[in-house]
Amino acid sequence: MATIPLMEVDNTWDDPRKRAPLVTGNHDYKSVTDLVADVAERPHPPMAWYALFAVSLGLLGFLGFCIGYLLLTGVGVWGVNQPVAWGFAIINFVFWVGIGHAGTLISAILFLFRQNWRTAINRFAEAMTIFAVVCAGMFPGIHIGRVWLAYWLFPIPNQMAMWPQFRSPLLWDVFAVGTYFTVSLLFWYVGLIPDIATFRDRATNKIKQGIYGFFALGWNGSTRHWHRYERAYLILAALSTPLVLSVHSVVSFDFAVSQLPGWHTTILPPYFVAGAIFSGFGMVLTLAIPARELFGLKEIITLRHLDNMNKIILATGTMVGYAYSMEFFIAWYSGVEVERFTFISRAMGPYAAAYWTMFICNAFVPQIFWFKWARTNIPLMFVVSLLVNLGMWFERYVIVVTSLSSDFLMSSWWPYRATWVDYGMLIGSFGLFFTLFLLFCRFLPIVAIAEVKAVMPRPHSLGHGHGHSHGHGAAHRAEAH
Amino acid sequence: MPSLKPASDDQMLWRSLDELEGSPRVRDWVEREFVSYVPEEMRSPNRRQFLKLAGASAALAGLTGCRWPREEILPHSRLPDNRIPGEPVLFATSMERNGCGIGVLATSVDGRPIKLDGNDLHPLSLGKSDVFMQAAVLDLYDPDRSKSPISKLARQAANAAGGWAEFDAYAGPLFEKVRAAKGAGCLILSEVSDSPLMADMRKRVADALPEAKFVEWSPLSSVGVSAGTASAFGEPMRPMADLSRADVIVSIDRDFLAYGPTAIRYAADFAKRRKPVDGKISRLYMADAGLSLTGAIADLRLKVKPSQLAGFVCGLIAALRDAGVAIDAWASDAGSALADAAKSAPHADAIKQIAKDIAEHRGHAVLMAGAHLPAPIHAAVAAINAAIAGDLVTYFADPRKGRSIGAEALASAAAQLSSGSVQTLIILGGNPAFDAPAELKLADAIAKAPNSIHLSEYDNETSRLCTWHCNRAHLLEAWGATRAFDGTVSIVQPLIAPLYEGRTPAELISALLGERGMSSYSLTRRALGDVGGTAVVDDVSWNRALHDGVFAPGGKGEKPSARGGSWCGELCGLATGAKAEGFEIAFRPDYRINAGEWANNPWLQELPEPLTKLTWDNAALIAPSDASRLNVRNGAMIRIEQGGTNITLPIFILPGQVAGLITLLMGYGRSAAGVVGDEIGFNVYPLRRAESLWSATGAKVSATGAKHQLVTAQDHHMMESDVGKAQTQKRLPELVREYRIEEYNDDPTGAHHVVHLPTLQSLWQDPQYGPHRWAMAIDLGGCIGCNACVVACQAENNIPVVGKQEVEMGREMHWLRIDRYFRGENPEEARVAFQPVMCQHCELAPCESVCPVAATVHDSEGLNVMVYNRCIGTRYCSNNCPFKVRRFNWFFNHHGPQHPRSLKQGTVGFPNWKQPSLTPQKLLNDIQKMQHNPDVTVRSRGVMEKCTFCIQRISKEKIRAKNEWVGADSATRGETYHIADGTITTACQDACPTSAIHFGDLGDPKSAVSQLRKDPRSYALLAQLNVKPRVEYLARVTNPGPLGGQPKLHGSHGGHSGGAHGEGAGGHDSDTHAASQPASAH
Repeated sequence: MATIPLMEVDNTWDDPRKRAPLVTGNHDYKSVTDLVADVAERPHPPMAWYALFAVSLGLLGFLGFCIGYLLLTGVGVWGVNQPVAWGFAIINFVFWVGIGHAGTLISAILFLFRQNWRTAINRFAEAMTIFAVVCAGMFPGIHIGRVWLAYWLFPIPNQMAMWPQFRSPLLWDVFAVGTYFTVSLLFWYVGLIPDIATFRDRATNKIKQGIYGFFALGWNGSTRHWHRYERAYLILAALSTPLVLSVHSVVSFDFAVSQLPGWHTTILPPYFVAGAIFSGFGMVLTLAIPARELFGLKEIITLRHLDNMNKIILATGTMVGYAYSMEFFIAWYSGVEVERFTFISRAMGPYAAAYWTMFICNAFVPQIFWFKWARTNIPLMFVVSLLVNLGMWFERYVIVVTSLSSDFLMSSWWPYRATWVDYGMLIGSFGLFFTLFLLFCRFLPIVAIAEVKAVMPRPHSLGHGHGHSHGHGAAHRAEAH
Repeated sequence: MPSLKPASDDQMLWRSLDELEGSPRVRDWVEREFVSYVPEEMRSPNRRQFLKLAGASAALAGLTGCRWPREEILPHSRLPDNRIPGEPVLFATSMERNGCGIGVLATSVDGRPIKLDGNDLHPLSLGKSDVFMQAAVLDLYDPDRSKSPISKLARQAANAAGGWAEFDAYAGPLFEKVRAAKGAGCLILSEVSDSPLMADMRKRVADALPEAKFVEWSPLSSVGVSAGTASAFGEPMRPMADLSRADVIVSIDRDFLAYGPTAIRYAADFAKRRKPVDGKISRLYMADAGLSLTGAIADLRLKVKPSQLAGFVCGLIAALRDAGVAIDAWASDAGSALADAAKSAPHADAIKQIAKDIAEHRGHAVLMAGAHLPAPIHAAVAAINAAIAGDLVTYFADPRKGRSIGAEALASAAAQLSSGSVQTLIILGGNPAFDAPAELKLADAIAKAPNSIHLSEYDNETSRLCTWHCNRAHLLEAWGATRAFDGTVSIVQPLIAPLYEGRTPAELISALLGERGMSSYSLTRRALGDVGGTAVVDDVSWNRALHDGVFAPGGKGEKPSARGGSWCGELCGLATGAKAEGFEIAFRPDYRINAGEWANNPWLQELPEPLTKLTWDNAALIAPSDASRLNVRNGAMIRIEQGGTNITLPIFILPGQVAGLITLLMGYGRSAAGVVGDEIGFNVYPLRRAESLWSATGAKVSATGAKHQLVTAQDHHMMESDVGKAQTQKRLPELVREYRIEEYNDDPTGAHHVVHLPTLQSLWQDPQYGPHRWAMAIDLGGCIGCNACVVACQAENNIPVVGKQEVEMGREMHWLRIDRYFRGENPEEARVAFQPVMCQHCELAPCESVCPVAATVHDSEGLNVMVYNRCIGTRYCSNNCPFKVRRFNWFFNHHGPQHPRSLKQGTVGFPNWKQPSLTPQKLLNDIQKMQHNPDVTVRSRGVMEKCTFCIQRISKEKIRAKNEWVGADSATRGETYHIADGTITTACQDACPTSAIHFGDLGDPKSAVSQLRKDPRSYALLAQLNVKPRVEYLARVTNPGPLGGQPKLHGSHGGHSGGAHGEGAGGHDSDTHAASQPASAH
């Protein structure tokens, strides 16, 4: 399938008289189902999948090794130290939570705003969210000094008659991330049900049928089912929407509520949310571009989708850039010497390289998306998406490390140097993420089949009046079977 | 301290035990009980053996506690009176350092000495201590201590075990021969000791073995004072100044606050005059060859090279004469020579001012000179003091008169050794093979002696050259006596049975003399019987001496009259003969390990050097200008060539160091110190020569291009970067506040105007505490940066040592640190600011609100307490602590993976489910654990810890007070229990020689701490954060006089370029500045 060369169809026009198609190619409902289901049903995934999976699994194994070493030895194996008591673990946590924002934003907020183009990307964006939050959730768990007591963070009735301390932002984190994960998972799963049922119905052996059947919850596509499904989906979308804003706001409270110069700023919640969406879309792009190539989904995840996402990256990147500048202004305007120094030292001190990496990647690089040629240039946008990920990781690094390493008393200033375990766990967390993602690609519908059909032209008009698409000579899927 | 009163009860008890012992059945039983006692067990005891040992040591301490000098180890068949298990008991003892005694109060819990503090009845300690006294207890439990005698043969055979029995078999006939030869061919090389016990032994050696030679050597001993006073008075004397009455102190390179046998006393007296009383404080001028702690806090520090010091004194004499101070002893014929010499004096203007100052304060001015300086300077100082010091300086008889001490004596001993005429060499303590002047080649000389015996606590460099090494008893294990600088005699009493059967030098000499069965106790008792002319010391006065820690007071001292002498010419000769070529070198004992004898003490190795903040290393200290001239940076290796020898070591650029001078810290680079002290730092002794022990000129310095990793506990490059430096100077006036006495007199609250606080209000009703509100006040005017508090805290609170690499990571565990900043834009002229920082116990503690599991909370008395059991180690509290005083256990920290013992001695390692660790880790053995304070939790991996205000001491005193109240008559006892101010002290407070740290109850308006917080100098650190710290600092008041430039009244505001402050002197009420910015920049 994927071997058939597909020409990129430009559906990114802005002519208001003509609605741009969200699915290109001469697709009907069946061919869409075939196309998506084929990813999971073909006997062997592409070689690239195997290669990627092997690498990811290797990294995951390394992560496991690092965690084992950490747990048996102590958090001293990291580079954390006295003023800089938080290091890569928290940086990675915030980074992954941020990534986890795009999925729910695409699924929930865009759903509520009736942005139909979301349908092509929402499924795997949501999956990405779940997996990112899994990666994120791991870090606070293992970063504490006595991991075996991590459950004390949860409000579990216990013989000590102790509750957690509700004033601590870390506890808010537990609630915020926990809720977010739960709701995202539910939302994702509910959306999956009709498609899992499709897989069940197409299953070629008993085992697959049984497993898909179990998760399809007896879906039979009746109108009653559809009705309840739509309701449930809408409600979950409504529930998820505030969460998109709340999670990263709460994560930002870890910093904003403390009194450390550089952390103690009111701009952090909106700044974090914008950054999270920014990095989330960056990651969606990073995943979507190879995935559509690899699994032949260019007609569902079209150039227009990518174009739209680039616009969001441009918007949020600009917001983030504004936040960076505003931080500087406020630090100067506040007149607080330590605050001023924190920002001057960010830009000119020992961590200037990290700071400027962040600034350039996040605030400057996305500006290229003001140009349409850039928004539709796939290699370019892939590079940009990688830089966005890089920049956003450095943003967290800058926030966590620079503020901690030089605060109020000069005598306590001390640098932070990551150890191999730090780097190992950062890379390993990508292993975890990609392992989960590749498994998802292999076994679950990576595009919301049912929803995509809803944004396709109605069946009676199939084959008529779609000369535009035909004109581009896209291959006929039916023939390919 | 146990009271003297129940002495009669004791006697009753012991009389009955005596009776018991008399019966054959009991005697038999006692013998059987310990028939299996072998010291071997103590090297690596298992639980059972440990309990035995603990019990035995408890029993022995009990015996000493009851003043019962029996040395058998007995279990408590009945608990002695006045002994409560777990209740600490204090014993007065004393320790000797560089030959001079100092009073010690040892805390013992169930027979384990766990902490040493100063003895308040001892005139040279006054209850205060220093780093060495605090750290000494750790040496007792050091696993590297030598555990049995060992011969060279046994060493070579590797499997042959040594032991006292073997040694006695060897030494018996040998000593017999020595005695038969009247000591001919016998050389005793002892560390310097003024102890009356050793004096007695020396006398006995001289009587019985007239041919034997007795030489004393310590790398820090100096004959300058003796010779100088002898030249001035005709008799060697020991000068001692009363600094508590001195208005003007001029120190000629005398680091009197931090170094020398009188340091603690001097620091205490000096600090008394640093609090403004009637608008006055004393003034300290320091001619500093290098940067010393005394120089660091001097009001006016004059940088002088060692070769210029004589010229400086000449200049001062000339200036004093001009100022009308007649120096009687000054020979008139030296007039023109003096005028010539005075011309070479550096800082001519300053000297004029100093002389003027001295003249104005005649009778209240004191001159001091470093003990290492040559005799003519001491003679001159004695003569000047006779004219200016009134009765401030008194002189004590010099017990070293007539003894062979110092480099010259050692040189003759070395010559004798080299000539092969020494048959028997006995070395008592010390480490001459390591620390003797290099050109004597003492190591080779020692090897030439056919029989050599070294008695030492450690099997050190010298031991390894000797035929036999014998293990010496620790000062807490055996009896002895000390003589303090002022002649005060104290007894050294053991608190624990010798862990490894060590013997004392006196016992070894006693064996040499052929005395039979003399224990350290009987020797001490015999020696002290002769002190003060009384033949026999009766038990009552003996017990009193033991209880007080003072056997015979030193007397008031005398004031001999000076006479003219030849010293004037010599002084002028010194001044004019000084050569100025190449670099000058000054040797300085290290503030952490002194001359190297403390090298194996991990507390001291990890202690940040007060000025450089270096840990686990030494370096060549050079001035910033020299560094840039040589084009080297911190840690660059340089080769120093002088007098035909050279050493290579790293440099440390020390702001304020004298340009053209390299200060070398002695004592490092040991090769046989022990697991902790080996191969740390660089040995500078090879450059030291007998004729110039303390300084040298004409050194050639070149950079080798190599680098060495120097680790400091402060001062990272962020602080060193341009941005950081500028910021440091900006914030410093606000953090470590100081103002001049003129400014203080003009407006005592001036320290508050450094920063203008907005109206600080809480959004909520602040919690109310009571009845106690513990708080601390720290007088920055008193802090001399000596580190005694840091080690005291470490000893009291079971604080682990983490090792060099962990310090490099920023993971040192000290709960109390001393922040050291350099003041001033120009690093050459930098001044030093010290600030001890511990947990500030904020009332609105930022650490508490962020802890997700409520592991750090406030108690009802306003203490910020840390609940270790509840802590899961999120470390958020540390992030949110503006003072960064919290410390986290990144590993199992008692011998964590980077501790030298773990690095060098292997590992418990994995799999060990009790303490799993994949990194090499050696665990504390049971003997090491005996040092731990049982009242303080030993923290595990993964929990946060911090200063508790010594909460265990607070609790103990509260329990005592409550029990007393409950037991008291209900009619008269009052409504509630009462704790008198000063009853509870923290460990740092106890240790502080200058009493800069005050702890007490804010609930008691009369308490010292309540009063001090009302002092206009009192301010809170980072008050703008409104965290309401319970620790407040008292701004330092300085008194540099006219040489310090014009006082800029109210001009010291942070960030000001001067004069921009448009406000008058009065009416500075913090609320009126509500509109100002919260930080200093406005």
